[in-house]
Amino acid sequence: MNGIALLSPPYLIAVFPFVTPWLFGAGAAAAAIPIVIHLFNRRRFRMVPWAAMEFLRVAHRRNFRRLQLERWLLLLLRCLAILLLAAAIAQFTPAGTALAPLLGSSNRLTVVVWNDAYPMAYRPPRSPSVFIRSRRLLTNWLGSAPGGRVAIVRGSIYDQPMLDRPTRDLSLAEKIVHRRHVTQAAVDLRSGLQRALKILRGARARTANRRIWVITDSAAADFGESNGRGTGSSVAAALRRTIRAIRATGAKLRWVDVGDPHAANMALTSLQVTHPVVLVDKPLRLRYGVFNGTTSMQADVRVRFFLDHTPAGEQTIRRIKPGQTRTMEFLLPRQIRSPGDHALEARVGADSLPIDNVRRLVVQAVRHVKLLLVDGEPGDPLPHTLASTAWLRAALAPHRRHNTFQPTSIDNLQLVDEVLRPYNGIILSDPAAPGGRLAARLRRYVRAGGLLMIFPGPGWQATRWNQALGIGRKGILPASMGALIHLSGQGQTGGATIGFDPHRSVNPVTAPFLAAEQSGIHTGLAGVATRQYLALRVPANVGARVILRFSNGAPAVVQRSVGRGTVILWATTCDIRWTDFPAEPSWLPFLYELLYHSAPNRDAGRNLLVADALNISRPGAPGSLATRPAEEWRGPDGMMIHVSSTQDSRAGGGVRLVSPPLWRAGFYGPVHGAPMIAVNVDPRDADIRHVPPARVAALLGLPVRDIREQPESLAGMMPHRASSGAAGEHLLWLALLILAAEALLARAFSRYRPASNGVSRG
Amino acid sequence: MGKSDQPNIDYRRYLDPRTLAKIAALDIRARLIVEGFVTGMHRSPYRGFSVEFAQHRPYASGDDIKYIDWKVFGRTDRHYIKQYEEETNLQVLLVVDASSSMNYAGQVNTDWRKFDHATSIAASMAYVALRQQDGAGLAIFDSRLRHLIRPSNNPRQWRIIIEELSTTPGEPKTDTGHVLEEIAGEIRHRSLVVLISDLFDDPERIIKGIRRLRHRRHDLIVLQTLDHDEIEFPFRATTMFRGMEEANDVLVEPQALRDAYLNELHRHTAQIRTACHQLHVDYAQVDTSVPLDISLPGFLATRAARMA
Repeated sequence: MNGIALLSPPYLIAVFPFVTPWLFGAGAAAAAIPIVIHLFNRRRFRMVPWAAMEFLRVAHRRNFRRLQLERWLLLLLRCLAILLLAAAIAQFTPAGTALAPLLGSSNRLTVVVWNDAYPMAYRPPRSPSVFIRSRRLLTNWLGSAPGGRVAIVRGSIYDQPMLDRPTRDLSLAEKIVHRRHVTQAAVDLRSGLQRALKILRGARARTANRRIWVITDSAAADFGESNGRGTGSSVAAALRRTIRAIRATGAKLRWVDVGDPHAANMALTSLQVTHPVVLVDKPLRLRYGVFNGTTSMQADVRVRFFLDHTPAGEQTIRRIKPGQTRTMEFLLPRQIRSPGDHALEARVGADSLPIDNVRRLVVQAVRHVKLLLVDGEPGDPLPHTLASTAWLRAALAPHRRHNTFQPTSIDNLQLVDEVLRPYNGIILSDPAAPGGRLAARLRRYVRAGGLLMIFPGPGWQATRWNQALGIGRKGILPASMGALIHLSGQGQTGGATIGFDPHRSVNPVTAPFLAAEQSGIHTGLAGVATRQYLALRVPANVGARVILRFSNGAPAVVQRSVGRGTVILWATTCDIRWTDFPAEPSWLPFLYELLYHSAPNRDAGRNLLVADALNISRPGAPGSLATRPAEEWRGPDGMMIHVSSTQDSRAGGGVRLVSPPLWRAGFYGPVHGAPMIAVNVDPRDADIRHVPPARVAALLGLPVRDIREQPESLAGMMPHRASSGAAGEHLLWLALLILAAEALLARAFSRYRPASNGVSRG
Repeated sequence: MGKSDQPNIDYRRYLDPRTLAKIAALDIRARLIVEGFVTGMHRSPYRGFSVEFAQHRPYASGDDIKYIDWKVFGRTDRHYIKQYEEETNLQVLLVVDASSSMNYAGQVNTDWRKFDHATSIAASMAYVALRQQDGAGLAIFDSRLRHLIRPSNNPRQWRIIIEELSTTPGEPKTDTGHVLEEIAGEIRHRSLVVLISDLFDDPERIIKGIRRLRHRRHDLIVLQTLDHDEIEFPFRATTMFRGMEEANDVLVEPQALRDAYLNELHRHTAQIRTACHQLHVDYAQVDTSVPLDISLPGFLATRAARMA
């Protein structure tokens, strides 16, 4: 370690437990002053001729040792007093040192759970924000030198520790608090309380006086009272359990309510595209939600939209009830003209909490959805025998050019060598059951975000398929395939076919059909004739969803999300051998809706909440990593983030981009490129309506007296003992005590009793 | 100028040592002292040196009948004996220490040495004795007896004594015991020997000398003359004390050593005082900062009362 490093404040603080070690150094040097004065006095004296020399010499000889002892004792006391004064001024921090018990430092520990989530940025009219008020309370309290140890933990999900280790250095704590700003993270009082509990449990046993202060705005979101953080009872119950555990340790808890009783907020809580696939030159429909977090009806709420940071239309919501989230759809007047990443933004009017008045979205627009059709029965090249995927091709690519879907047909044998990654989806039509390697590739493809749609056929080997792709948690099939059901062979007369029943399964795919049926339009799903189908058994624990059922209740289409991809299993064929569906008018819209809602969402991982980390896959040559293993991205307000790149083996090539958690809402993207991700604040905290103390008490199981609403000062909230003082205060008193002792001893050592007598008779 | 026109002079204000120090002539100084305390006392404190009636007491068998006061017998029909205070022809020998230690002057009145105080006492007592027709003598000593003026009631005796007292102290050393023994050998008549010294000497030798004088049936008064500083030791700052009779220096912090010093001083004086008491010698410690008209009359009055 070089000299400069030795003299650096952190090193000095580590060696000398002082806030201002330089000041202590100066004081230590000052401790030499009595010695210098002593030596100086020894050299500076006056000369007195003396007659009674014999008495003086005898007295001096007999008392020489005692005088020396007294002199050194007084000198020692003077030096010690100055040293202690210097230590007191330099604010000695004996925590963790052997001197702590000797100095009688206070054994009080105060853990402050400080809500610094974004709702604390709410600024009442003509007042500083709630956070600034809370910060002022804390700094004033710390500045008053209340003594004891203090720890400060966050009441949000922000992961940077504030002051998690208890310290006696209150000026340091004050500095830390003074430098803190409100974050854009979500509130998480429960985790804060659990950290506080951990600190309390980690405190030494002799810390008798332990307390926790929760400084928050008492917003409804703190307790999950509304807006989707979970049921009010579940969030509040979790808080209540933690508080009970804290009080079981003997610690006292005070709930410091710094919120505004009239807090109100309007927020955009969601923004998304109605279909996961965004196509170039196609209409784009957005779905968004506006939350009325005020106590009155809001009328004519105007929402403005921006596409790539330029205005793209607006919509006015007639009215939103108090506490209601109104979900609306808006057809963007402008279309996206180029493939790639595009930034969408929605805004509502300004209010006292502006951060949630904006919602951002990044979409990746594509010109086509590339599909690989694998035909188990490719058919003859002659026209009288059609391939099994012929109906699919006709539906997906009805035109010679400008089709939304871009299907590519291969046969069963070509699938083994085909590169799967370029395709958005793979549709298997009655192929042979895949071997082990192909099955593994298919599983990887799905988990990496691909769509796998499976149609059975006459040559179907259900058991082998079940084994190849697997059922249950480790597999990817949404249902286990059973026996082939021949309806005509079961003796049904005139009704040897079966139709679909869209009313049995309500989901986004069937929703338009149901809506049409309810409005009197005949969709034809119910009249589709199916003669044979596979019996599908949907397991309960894999998250599979029946999209469509036959009229007898048997699953016809089952969907399951696996990893980042989707698997769709049909019970019947994609040609007209088992069913007439491909020949029905409803086939094409149903297939389109199914593909729209099941196609891999390329925006996944690009639209994040504050505290999420970037983790997306981007096409690219693996070799590029050698030259650019990491890159800098630009975030909101010009901030830069470090994004690392790794080869993405799971996705069959390409690059995976990873960043640390992102703590600012806004768009992020390469320095010289379009925004690639959007980060928004957690909409569940938008409800900042104030919860009155009585309700807080009821929710948390706290006595109302433990809740302080709008306190002027933290010092008066929980009176502390006068003698609690910091080490500096103790040292100051000790120094004064030593000075007093020195004065008494000096007086005792040189007692002066006047004895004036002119003539005393013998 | 008539008698009534004379200014009403308060001699007492001239008796303050600080005032006396400004008066160089010792004879004037002594007169002022005596006039001052005579005025203050209204009667002479030196009754014991003259032949004066003291009191009556009832006659007891064995008393000489020539002392019966017949006038009282005539009035009261009782026999009373007339008592007189002292015999006539009193010889007073003033023994003054002139060693270097007597040169010490205090911190406050730096012009007033212990020797000045001692000579003032000696001159005053000589003046009073001679005024009452008693004999007065003087002995000046340091390590030896330097001058001896035998007691006499010659009118020129006062001037001789004053001139001798005006000499400055000589030898740094003192040997009081030896000098007292020498004086005991020199004077034949029973005398009142007044020793005026700081007694900074070996107490055993001093006591031996006193005992020798008492053995010769001399009456003895010991006036240990000390400066106020020596009694109080009021020094504060670090001080180098330089011996006036010896070459040794001591650097001390006076406040710390004060008690010990005073203990040593008290032990010394107590030893001498005890010996004086046992030998029926009057002993008094004289503080040079206290005016003589306060200290001296008080002592003499007490002595007179004791001897009555």
